[in-house]
Amino acid sequence: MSITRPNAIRASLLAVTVALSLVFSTGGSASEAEWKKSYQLEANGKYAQAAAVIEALSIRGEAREFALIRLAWLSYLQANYNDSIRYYRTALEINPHSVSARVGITSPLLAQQRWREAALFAKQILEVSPWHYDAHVRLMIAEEGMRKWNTLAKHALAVNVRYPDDASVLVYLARAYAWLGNTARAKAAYERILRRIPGHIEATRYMRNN
Amino acid sequence: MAERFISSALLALGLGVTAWMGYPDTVEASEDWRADDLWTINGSVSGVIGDYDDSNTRGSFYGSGLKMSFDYLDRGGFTLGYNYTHVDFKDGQGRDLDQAAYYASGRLQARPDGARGTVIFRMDTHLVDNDDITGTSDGAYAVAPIIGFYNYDKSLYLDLGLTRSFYMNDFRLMQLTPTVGFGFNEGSDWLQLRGFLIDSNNRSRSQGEEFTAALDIKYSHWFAPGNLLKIDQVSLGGLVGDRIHAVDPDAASMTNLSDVQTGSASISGSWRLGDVTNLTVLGGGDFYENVPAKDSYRSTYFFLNLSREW
Repeated sequence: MSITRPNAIRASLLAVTVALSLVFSTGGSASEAEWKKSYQLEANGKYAQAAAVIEALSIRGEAREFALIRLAWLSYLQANYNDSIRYYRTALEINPHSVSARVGITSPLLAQQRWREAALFAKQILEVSPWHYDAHVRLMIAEEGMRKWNTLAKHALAVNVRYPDDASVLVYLARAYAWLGNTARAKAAYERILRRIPGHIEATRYMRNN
Repeated sequence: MAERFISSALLALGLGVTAWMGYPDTVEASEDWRADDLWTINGSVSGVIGDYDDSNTRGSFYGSGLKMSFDYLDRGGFTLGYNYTHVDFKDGQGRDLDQAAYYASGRLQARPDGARGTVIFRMDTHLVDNDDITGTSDGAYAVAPIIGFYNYDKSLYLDLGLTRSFYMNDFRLMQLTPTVGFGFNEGSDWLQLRGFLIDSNNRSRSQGEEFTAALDIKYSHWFAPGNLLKIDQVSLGGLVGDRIHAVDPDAASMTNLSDVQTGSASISGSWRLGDVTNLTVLGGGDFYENVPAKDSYRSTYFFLNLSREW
């Protein structure tokens, strides 16, 4: 059976398509398998191995930004804060608009007690997303670290209006009032915490001692 | 002298009352999230007034100072300082002395992951300019590199400073200041010990001492909020041993007085006036000895410092 020229071309194109689809499907499966393995290792507390599995993906390719953010997170879990910051910064270079990387980088910065730098990244998020919950919490942690009690109290009050059911914000509000020496307002805030989390250790202790 | 003391006391009283009054009962919610604060600037003004008790030659002194610190995020910064001091000598014991002291310091911070804390590389420089008619204390300068470390828990501090001091006519001193500090009681107490090991290249310029050793001890306590005096911190300080021409990294000062310091005791209190202002009041006494002149005396002083952050 002879094959006509158009048929030959069609057959060649088919072969190429099949070959390419095989290449890509193999690549996709391998990549998915790597991510899956990385998540499993992380779940088992093997953070270094979880990072090693996806490290190559952070060098180039479509998944580079996500791989960098994940490596930054896994570095943070290993208390390799400088590596974590470096990965987040590289992710920000790739995508300067990334809110995820900005939220992420505050974790190692706060762990290193770099309050001002963490506050700066949190505020950058709030400039584009004014009521981003995580950014507010990170900023409040930084304000507490800098012992800016007036600032913290004002900040926590504003966030509390937006997240009235949230106990964490009330903890910062209560601490700020306590450090400002305003026991009545601190107690009121701690009472509100106890309504949300009965038996809250810090609130219970403060109410007992004041 | 009395007028100066009264004005200083009134200033302290006024600021103390401000601290006592505390903060407004209501706090307005803030919604200002501008990310524009790369630099933190801290400025302070200070004043000191004191007497030389039992001295054969010296009468009293007063001075004032200005210091500005600039910090880029949490990475490093620099400080510039100026101090003016006037010393009154007793009648017939010499001309009064006016002195300007300049201070410049730079610092870089690093946080190696393995260290679990902050390493500080610091370089201090001092320059003293005065109208000392003998010329022995004029034009002195010092260079002091310091490496320090404090852990994230704020329970341990270590530093080591090496200071080279230079005076006119080839008089030089080398000072080593090993320091250790401990935090305890969940960070509300702090004990710091700093050694001053000072070596002189010319005994005739350092009261016959070729080497002096002293230990500076400082205990600080931070109070819980809502205490009666609204005080933030109280410190007790003391010095045992002998030291001469010491350069103090905490006080950022260079002692160009040629007498041997044989001890000191001090107490200080600090008040936070809001988030950005701090008031420190310090009183104390330093003990000195001038061996050739057989003059042992005490310097008692009252010091006030007001600082603000921008």
